[in-house]
Amino acid sequence: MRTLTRRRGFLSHGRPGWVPASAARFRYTYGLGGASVLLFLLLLVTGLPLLFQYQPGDGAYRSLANLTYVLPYGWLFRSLHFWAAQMLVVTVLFHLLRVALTRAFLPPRRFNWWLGVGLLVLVVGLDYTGYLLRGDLEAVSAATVGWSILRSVPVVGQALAALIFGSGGQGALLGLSAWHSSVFPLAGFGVMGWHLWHVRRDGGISRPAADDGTHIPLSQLAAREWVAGLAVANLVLLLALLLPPGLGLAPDQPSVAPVPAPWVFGAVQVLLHRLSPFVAGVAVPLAAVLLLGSAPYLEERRPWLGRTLVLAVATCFTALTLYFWWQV
Amino acid sequence: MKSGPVPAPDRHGRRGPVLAASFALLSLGLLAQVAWVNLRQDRRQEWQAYQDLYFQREGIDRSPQVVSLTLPDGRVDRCQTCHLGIEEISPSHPVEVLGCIGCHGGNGLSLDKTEAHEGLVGGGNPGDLRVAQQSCGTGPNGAACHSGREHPELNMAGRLAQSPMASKAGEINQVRVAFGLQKDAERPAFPVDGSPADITAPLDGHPQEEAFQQNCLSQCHLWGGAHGDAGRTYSGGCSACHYLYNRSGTYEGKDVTISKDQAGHGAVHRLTASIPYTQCNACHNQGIHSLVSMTFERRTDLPTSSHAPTTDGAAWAARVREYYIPGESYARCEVSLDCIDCHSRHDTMGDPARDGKPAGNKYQAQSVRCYDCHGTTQAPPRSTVINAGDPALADPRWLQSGFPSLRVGDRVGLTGAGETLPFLRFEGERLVQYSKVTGKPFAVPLAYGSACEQDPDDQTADACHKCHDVSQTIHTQPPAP
Repeated sequence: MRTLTRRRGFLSHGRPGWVPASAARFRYTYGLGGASVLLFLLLLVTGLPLLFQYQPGDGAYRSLANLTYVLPYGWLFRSLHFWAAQMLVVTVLFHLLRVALTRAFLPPRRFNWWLGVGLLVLVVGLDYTGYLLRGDLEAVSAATVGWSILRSVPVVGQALAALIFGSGGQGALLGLSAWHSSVFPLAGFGVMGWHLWHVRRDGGISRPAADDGTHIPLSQLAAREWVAGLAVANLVLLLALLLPPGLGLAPDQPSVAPVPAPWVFGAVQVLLHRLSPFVAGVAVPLAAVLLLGSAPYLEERRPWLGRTLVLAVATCFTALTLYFWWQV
Repeated sequence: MKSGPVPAPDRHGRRGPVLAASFALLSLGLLAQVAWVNLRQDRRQEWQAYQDLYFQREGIDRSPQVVSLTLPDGRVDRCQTCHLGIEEISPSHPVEVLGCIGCHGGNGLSLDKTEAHEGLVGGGNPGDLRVAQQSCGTGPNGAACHSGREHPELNMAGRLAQSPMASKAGEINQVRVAFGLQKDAERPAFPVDGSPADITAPLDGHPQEEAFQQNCLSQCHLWGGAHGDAGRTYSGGCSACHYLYNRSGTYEGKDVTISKDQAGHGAVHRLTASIPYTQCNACHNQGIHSLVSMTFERRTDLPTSSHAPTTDGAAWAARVREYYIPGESYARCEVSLDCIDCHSRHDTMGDPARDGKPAGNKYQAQSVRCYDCHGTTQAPPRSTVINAGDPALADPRWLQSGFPSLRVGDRVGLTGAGETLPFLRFEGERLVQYSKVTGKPFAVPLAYGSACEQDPDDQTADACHKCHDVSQTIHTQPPAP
């Protein structure tokens, strides 16, 4: 049987030659981790041409208008980048939920769970900074909110706000552009590599309880992954074609109506309307992240507690997001 | 020795074809979408279709391209990508400096119709009174244009709402007097911070109030209304006068995006201070508001279509026929001149001296009298000398051909209310009124030193009309040169 295992090249170090048949089933993982990797790579690929055309600073909005309306295929790269980002947030959240519900965050995979939570934070950071780079009226509003939230942090708030947003104003886009196009993606790429390597190190992905111990060769899994990857690519391209993002209101236009947050931050906006900036923008999200991080420990104490907690966090997030949508 | 992996029962054979088919289908899907991407990239955008139409109409052989204008403040204006060929609004509002967005607002960067028109000031009419302070008053980067200026004379955008043409003060007061709701028409205007159509209980709940609001207060005033109102052929606010329209209120210019059938547009996209009587007559002299039926009764003796006056005989005939409602009395000069030659800036756009106390009727609003040009038997007309800071120097017509120039030291007319009349010139022994519409000079005959039999204490127009009314005798032939 071993002869069936063909190892070629360096990259094949990352995958075992044989994988447990039960864990390779689509209905066990829903391909969420793989989809996230693919979307992240797609974001890197589509982000690169954007990086060449985007002008941080005063010209941001104008360069975006050029991309959207003037440069050939500019709209496509922007739209692909936008939709891949939206989908990445979704796949990452569901991946997290899948891992928790299948109790895959228990040792030996506990550290990799933390890496995953870290990746979630990075993805949210990329989403936020990407939204700000649009430089439109909505982005200015979102930057103002983010800046106020950071400044509400006791003692280090001022420094934090200065670190992320620089001196403020349109110049902030220069710093934000650096965060979005170098720091966060590099960190994301690194942590993602670490995360994937850890999967291998931890003995492959977890297995369902009903594991019969049989295996399938990697080539078979790869065939399924190709199909899943193509499906994801089709979906991203379809969304990008059907619903390309337009330009928001120009940043120098007088603001007429309150601007809704991007959907990922809808939950925080709902809280901000009711609680202080520090509680809604820092304490609650931080608590959510810490709760997620501690879930494996709690699951070890009580064999349901960790999962329930992750589910509760996810439910709260979903409920607040739905309420936000309903309000808008 | 560890045993090798136990292979799963071979379901590959069963799944293989499904996977292969899915792979093929999804690959085809991806390829199809890539083709779609290219179709979309090459598709004729709306702006390209507009340019194609424009080039076709103008007989120009050119392929569409984005028109991008970088304004001095760094903003980019691409409006002419769709609105190609649109007339420059005026030499004093150069498009290279103000762009379109300078007055119209909106998003100059977008080539998508909805997006580009988002934040448009006053819909298509930045002169609308609701926004005039913002669009005409304040220019790009907060520049004070037609409001916020140091010289109160120049703040027309903010003052215009106080004109009876906007407030309808005269109409309201006269009707209230007629209905016995107040003693005289001297009462100041109702609040002027909004449209008179929105005044609640203008007739204190009189049974005719609703008809009054609907048929009188909602029509023919500077607060205007939406384009396409029944019978409406003019824009509101500043544009009501400065943006010339033809009788049908349709566009005749070169911008292919503007409908040529839909009423509510200027004849061409151009502002002017040279406002001919035909523009005033879009509202004035078209008929009467009947106090009995509370409806507008339109004159039946007017043609249904005519354009701006020409200088030929037909124009003179049209003037005599159209200028005034039959039965009114008027002097010769009131036909040969245009309305704005007598009705000055203060008369039409509000008197800065009245600031805060808007005129309650047209007699309060009108400050120019016959004697301001002709003098009385006792005294020649008043005059003043233009000094360096005089706002009259800013009139764009001094630089236009056909108009006289105005220089510091020139002696010009001065009304009893203290408004300079820069088109009334004291040139040596001659007194000349230059037409504000064409620049044509008219020698002004004086009452002073003449055989005029006026009562020096009765200087109303009615008193002058007793002798100088020409309404019954005027010929429809042009005057001898």
